Amino acid sequence: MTYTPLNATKAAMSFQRDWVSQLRDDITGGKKFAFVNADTPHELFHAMDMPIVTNQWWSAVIAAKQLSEHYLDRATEMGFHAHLPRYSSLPLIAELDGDPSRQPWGGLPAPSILCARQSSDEHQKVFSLWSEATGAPLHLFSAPGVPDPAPRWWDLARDQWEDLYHTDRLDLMVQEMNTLIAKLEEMTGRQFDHAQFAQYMHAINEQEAIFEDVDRMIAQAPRAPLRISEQIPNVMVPQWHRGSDWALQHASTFRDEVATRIADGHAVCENERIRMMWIGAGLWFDTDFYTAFEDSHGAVFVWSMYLPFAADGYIRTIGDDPLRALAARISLMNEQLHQPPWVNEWLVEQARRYRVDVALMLVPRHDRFSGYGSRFARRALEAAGIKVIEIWSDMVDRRDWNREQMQAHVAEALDGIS
Amino acid sequence: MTPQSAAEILDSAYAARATGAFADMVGIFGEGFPEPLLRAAGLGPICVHLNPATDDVDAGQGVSECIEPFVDHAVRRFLHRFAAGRYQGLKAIIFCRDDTAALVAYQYALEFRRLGLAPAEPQLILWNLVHAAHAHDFNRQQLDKLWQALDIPAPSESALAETWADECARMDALAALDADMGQGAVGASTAFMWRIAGRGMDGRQHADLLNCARPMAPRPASGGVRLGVIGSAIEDVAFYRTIEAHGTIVCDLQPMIAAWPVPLPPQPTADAFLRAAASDVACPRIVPPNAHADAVLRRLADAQCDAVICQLHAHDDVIGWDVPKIADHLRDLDIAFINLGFVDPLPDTPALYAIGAALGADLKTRGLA
Repeated sequence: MTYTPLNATKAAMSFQRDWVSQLRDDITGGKKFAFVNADTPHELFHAMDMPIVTNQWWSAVIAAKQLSEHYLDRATEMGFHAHLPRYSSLPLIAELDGDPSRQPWGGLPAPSILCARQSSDEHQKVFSLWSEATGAPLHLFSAPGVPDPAPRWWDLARDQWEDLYHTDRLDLMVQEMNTLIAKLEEMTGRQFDHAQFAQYMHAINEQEAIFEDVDRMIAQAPRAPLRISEQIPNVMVPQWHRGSDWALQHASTFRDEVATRIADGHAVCENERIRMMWIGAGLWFDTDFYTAFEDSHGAVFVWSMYLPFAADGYIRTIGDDPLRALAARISLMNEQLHQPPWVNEWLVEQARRYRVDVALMLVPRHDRFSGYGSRFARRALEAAGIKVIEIWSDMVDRRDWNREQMQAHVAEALDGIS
Repeated sequence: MTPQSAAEILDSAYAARATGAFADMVGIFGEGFPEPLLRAAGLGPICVHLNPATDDVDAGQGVSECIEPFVDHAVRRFLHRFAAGRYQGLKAIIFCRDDTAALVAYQYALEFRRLGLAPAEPQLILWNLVHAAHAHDFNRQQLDKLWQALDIPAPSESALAETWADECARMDALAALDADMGQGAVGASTAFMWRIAGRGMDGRQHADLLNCARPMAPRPASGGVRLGVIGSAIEDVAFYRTIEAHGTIVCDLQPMIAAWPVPLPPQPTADAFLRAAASDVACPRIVPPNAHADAVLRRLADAQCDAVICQLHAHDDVIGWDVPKIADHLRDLDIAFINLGFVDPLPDTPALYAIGAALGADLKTRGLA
């Protein structure tokens, strides 16, 4: 079976490659950049025209270059114990290793500012060490918990976010965003333009609404029209540049190409028999794994979180306070993907929408923030009639990954279905 | 009251911690809650993460199968007790968000209840104190919400003043106990038990018992090398006794010791209590984040340790980030750093034997035995 990649995928990758190349030149030429965690308000940096490098993306790049083994072994040599989270710390270890020539791009220069949210306990520690190593100031966002969480959060997140995320939490986040804005104004010499920011936030909502269309089309298509390994870059590269002209244009191009594929009856697997969802972040050091069961079992991954989360996790009614709407987008961004009751209820809803038969669930035992809630999710999915296969591995650490063994394990489970 | 009877009361209270009658009691899960505020409001805090192992229950497979193997030991044990109805009768359970385990305990407890796997009582309350100076207005709102949730009025100024005075007495008595430990006059195992014993007592009672019992507190057996202890929470006095066979623990910074009680303010107002709690460097989530490790290093240096013992839970994802930095700084101070690796919070006899053997061998190699 020959799978034809989307043109949009090539375009997204090409754009990102050029952007990264330009960024590298800009950074090495002395341009300021921010190193930020994925669940921080990137929008503020974009609005202030300060380029960002995202921690988890950089971590995935290091893993994709098959460098995680070296760095994680180095972490142990440095005295960090072997059970600490890896996804969020791999870039820090590469920095502390002190040999930029080994890193992708020849390493990152010192950022002008670091930014993280205290959602997961290790974030403030990892970023604090990075700050000590580079001298870059650290801006931390608090992450108070949500009392009495609403299980069907996505029903409320767009319009009723004030109640869903709680007024006191949003007040605090807006306060902390204003502090960050003041820092960025001082660093860049620019003034934060509130009117322009409102337009920018509307553009992001527009972009995410396009992704929602794509999500609906793929969910309802008779057979999966594209691989999740293509869904991910076509969503995440524009998300990186969210609200920009290019991102909106690309989202539309992606939607149109997917629509054409569906109309033409194109399928990843002509003989699609099993529809699967990949739960968790990517398996960045072995993304080919996503295609491993197409020929043998007619089993296709139709779902990964990145596309459907574009709508549920990002679209927020803006009203007359764009900063507050941004706080509503960010203040529980990561938690909704990993913690009960949000994750289990959302996964069941998604599995139903996508007519999923089997869920492969990545359980990273040493990245506990991402692993919490896995068993509640398993229970909920199984109650909904979906077979769940746990993949005990890590997003970036391939040291314990035995591809052959894992493929055999999954195949055995799929044998019982097909 | 004689020193002997005071010591017996403290020892008994340690053995019976977190058990007993629940009338007008509020459960606390995690470190960092400003308990004097609750006491001033007429309620007694009871630490639901400190139950002895003999109090453990199995709430069944429905609960077990939803708790991943990497969930904290204390959370797992609490959830089983909670689901089995062990805490019915408490007015509420408060979960301290900035404790590294408590948010998960709160979320899982709520979920078990939602799924019908746990009883509907008691009320579960998330205590969202943010450990950062800029968050005082937010923290003040959390306190107002707490009184609303508990359906009680905020404590009066006079009640706050009275509780504050009692808690100052407790702080003074604990400081004297620590000083005795630093001078080798009280064993760390005794200090551990007597401190934990007071978590269910009001400040004045605890202070009176400590002040009375201290003169006849058991001295550490071995003497010799001065040891510090850092790392994850240790729940069992047996660990201390194992360490004490090889030296004198003069500085104990494990979270159950270092993080309770939370610091007291200079004045007895609710705002001052909140500010003092929010600036507690014993909280690993404090802002700025390096404040926690810096405070650990200061205290170890002040205690003039010869060696510092580090032990961590296998699922630690916080303290381990500070370990290389602490080890480096101690090396600069010519203080030995002995990393025992992963240690269970309730180590069994073979594990304790292994810990003792490893520590003894390490100290001998360094010429400190």
